[in-house]
Amino acid sequence: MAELPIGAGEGEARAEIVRLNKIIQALMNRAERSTEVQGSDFTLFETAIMLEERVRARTVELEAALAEKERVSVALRKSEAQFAAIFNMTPDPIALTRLRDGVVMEASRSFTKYFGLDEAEVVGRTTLPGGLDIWVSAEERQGWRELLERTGEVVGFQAQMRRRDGSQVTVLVSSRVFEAGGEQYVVTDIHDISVQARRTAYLEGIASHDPLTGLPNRLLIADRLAQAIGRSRRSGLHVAVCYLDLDGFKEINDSLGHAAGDRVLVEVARRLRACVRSGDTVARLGGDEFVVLLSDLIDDNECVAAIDRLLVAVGQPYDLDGQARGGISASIGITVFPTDQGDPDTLIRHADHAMYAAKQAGKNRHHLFDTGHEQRQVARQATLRRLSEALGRGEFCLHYQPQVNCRLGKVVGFEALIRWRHPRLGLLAPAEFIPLIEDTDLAGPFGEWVIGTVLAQSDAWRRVGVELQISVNTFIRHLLEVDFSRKLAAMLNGYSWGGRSLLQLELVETAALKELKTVRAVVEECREIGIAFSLDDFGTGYSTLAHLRHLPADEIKIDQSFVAQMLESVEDRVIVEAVIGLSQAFGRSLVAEGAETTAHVSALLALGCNVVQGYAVARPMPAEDMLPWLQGFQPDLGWQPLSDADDD
Amino acid sequence: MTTSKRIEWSDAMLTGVAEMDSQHHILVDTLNEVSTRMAESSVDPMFDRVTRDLLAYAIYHFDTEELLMQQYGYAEAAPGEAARHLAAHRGFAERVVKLRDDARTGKPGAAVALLRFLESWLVDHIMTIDQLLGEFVCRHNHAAAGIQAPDRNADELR
Repeated sequence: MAELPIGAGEGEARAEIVRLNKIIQALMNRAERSTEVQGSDFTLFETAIMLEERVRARTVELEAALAEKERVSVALRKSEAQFAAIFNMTPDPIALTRLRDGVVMEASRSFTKYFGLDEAEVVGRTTLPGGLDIWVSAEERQGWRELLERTGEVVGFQAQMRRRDGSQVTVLVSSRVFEAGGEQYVVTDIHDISVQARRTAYLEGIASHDPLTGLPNRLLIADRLAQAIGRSRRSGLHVAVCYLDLDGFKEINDSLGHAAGDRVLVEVARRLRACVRSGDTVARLGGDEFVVLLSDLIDDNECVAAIDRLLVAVGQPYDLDGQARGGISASIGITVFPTDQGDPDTLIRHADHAMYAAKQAGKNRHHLFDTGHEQRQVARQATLRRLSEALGRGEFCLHYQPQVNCRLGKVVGFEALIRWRHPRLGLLAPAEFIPLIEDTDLAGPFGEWVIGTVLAQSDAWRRVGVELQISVNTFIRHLLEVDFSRKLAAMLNGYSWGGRSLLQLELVETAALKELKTVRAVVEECREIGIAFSLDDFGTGYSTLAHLRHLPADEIKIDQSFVAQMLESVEDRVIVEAVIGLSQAFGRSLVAEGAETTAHVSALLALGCNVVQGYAVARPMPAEDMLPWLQGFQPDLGWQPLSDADDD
Repeated sequence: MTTSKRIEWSDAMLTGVAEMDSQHHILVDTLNEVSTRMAESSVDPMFDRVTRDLLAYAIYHFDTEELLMQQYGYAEAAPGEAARHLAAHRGFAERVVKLRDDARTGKPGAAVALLRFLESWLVDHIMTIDQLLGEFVCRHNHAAAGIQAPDRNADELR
């Protein structure tokens, strides 16, 4: 340590205490940080705390007896001695430099020892380039310096430094700025991490590169891709992820052996690298699969031109044991960020999908990943998951719509209609989500839930004397499950009235047609346990006649769309008439859906269809509204056939 | 059947909200499927698939957007616009169901009607109403970023 000017005026003595305190504070802060970073500087830390305590006590004393310059000077000498002790005690090199020019004011013994320099060579010289030259890179020093000026302290800044013997070391630099006498100084601790750095670099090299070709592997490519995405977000330029799989590689491997296969892989790696720009990355994922990252693309044309170069390069013959072997080409799948918004792993997976499409399309070509198509699958899968969760969470409910014989003015049954109480989108009608379920594995769980709920409701209504038929829409997929009728029988057996269930299953005509034979067999099994069947949406399919002959349905329902428009459209009216005629000819009962007004009811009655379901009669309603509705039910006086008015 | 023009995704369709934008590709994709395949002899399987996927889109995508609206307080900040947006969402599935019914009952021109509907949705909704929501969300995000780091770019914000 330099001599402190003892014996000057009181003000100067005070200033010296302040300066010393600042140095100790800086040292202590550094020790704290250093502990956080390395977890090993306890001695320094404790000493600094102890020292701080002492100086604080000493300062109080000194301030009480400032006139006694002798005591002041003793105190200062003591503090200085302690500071010097710390400075030279820590194994980490420590230096005190002037901020503005980097000139070293003090250097610890460990500092001179570490760098292999004499104290005389160090003190008074700058750490700027051209001076001590301990920083390997001027840019690194500049980075440290800028950080220091901006925040006043730097913790664990990794840098390369050079020692006198020319050896390079990796260090963590921790520094703090303090002010004394109008000048800014920096106290800096240097912690060697060379051993760890070498080990990490070695492991990273092994872990991130393919030993055969020396190319980056899957780990590293994901990292590079993440960086490229970051650049793309800032620049607005595109990044193409190209997944490349060799065609004809297996044949080489099988006929000429793995050594030949390896030579091909090495040569492919070389050719790919030769095709791309310096900023692009070629990686090998394993086997004969490679990824090429093309960054900073202005448009897709630039990408396609590059891909064509890759295809030509890979397609050239390979020299194997002096023989030119052809027959190797590449199938390349491409996806482009930001059109495709996936994360690195997703982008690589998408490019992989597109590669399969290229293979299927005949190999030796590229295929661009279709984001919209992918998103469609994602949306459907996610919605199915959502539906499944919603079923578990009880987000569905049943509404019931009465079916009324308008000629007799009598309620004959209900149709149960499922609703989804979606927490954000509100109450969704079945037509908005049932099409998603009907051909999936969810058909069974949903079908069972509906039937179970209807049976429980039916039980509740029977207890208050309401014994009416309830129709349930049934998924063909559910009906065709192996033990459908057995499960249904078990559900019915839970009720004393199980044999007289009044349950009717509605099958959509067009869907039933696809598996007519099997459907017919199940329908017959179910009829034996007292279940009735209805053919829903009748008239929308093609082979209605053949259908009606082969399916033992008790009832047919005229599709609502024909009924709704029968008043305006002659065609629709003709279809309604035809369906009524069929039902009479085959002796099936008949329900017309979609009767919206009294005029519809009158027209249906006139054509001979008496049982009607629709807004003209009643809207679907929650189960709890049904009993009051039934009690208040009065047939509409307008329910008269158009042509005659002789009925009651 | 590649005589019909495909609609390519363009920056004019971007809202700036990544989640919304990637989901909007679904509508463009289905629109292109309808437009390139409607001339085929039997459009039934295509129509079935496309309308089914549009119903999934309505549940999946509108949930995403309406969650954003909730999170960012859209209804409080722009009640009229939010109500208009929600009403448009509610009408979408209804319209798809209607078109699906029309096709199912053999009404002529259902494929053309679907194509027109999707085109108008792209122009009137994605490129119009959604842009307002996108701007709103982006503005909020920028403002939030400004609060977290007030010293940075303070001049730019002023």
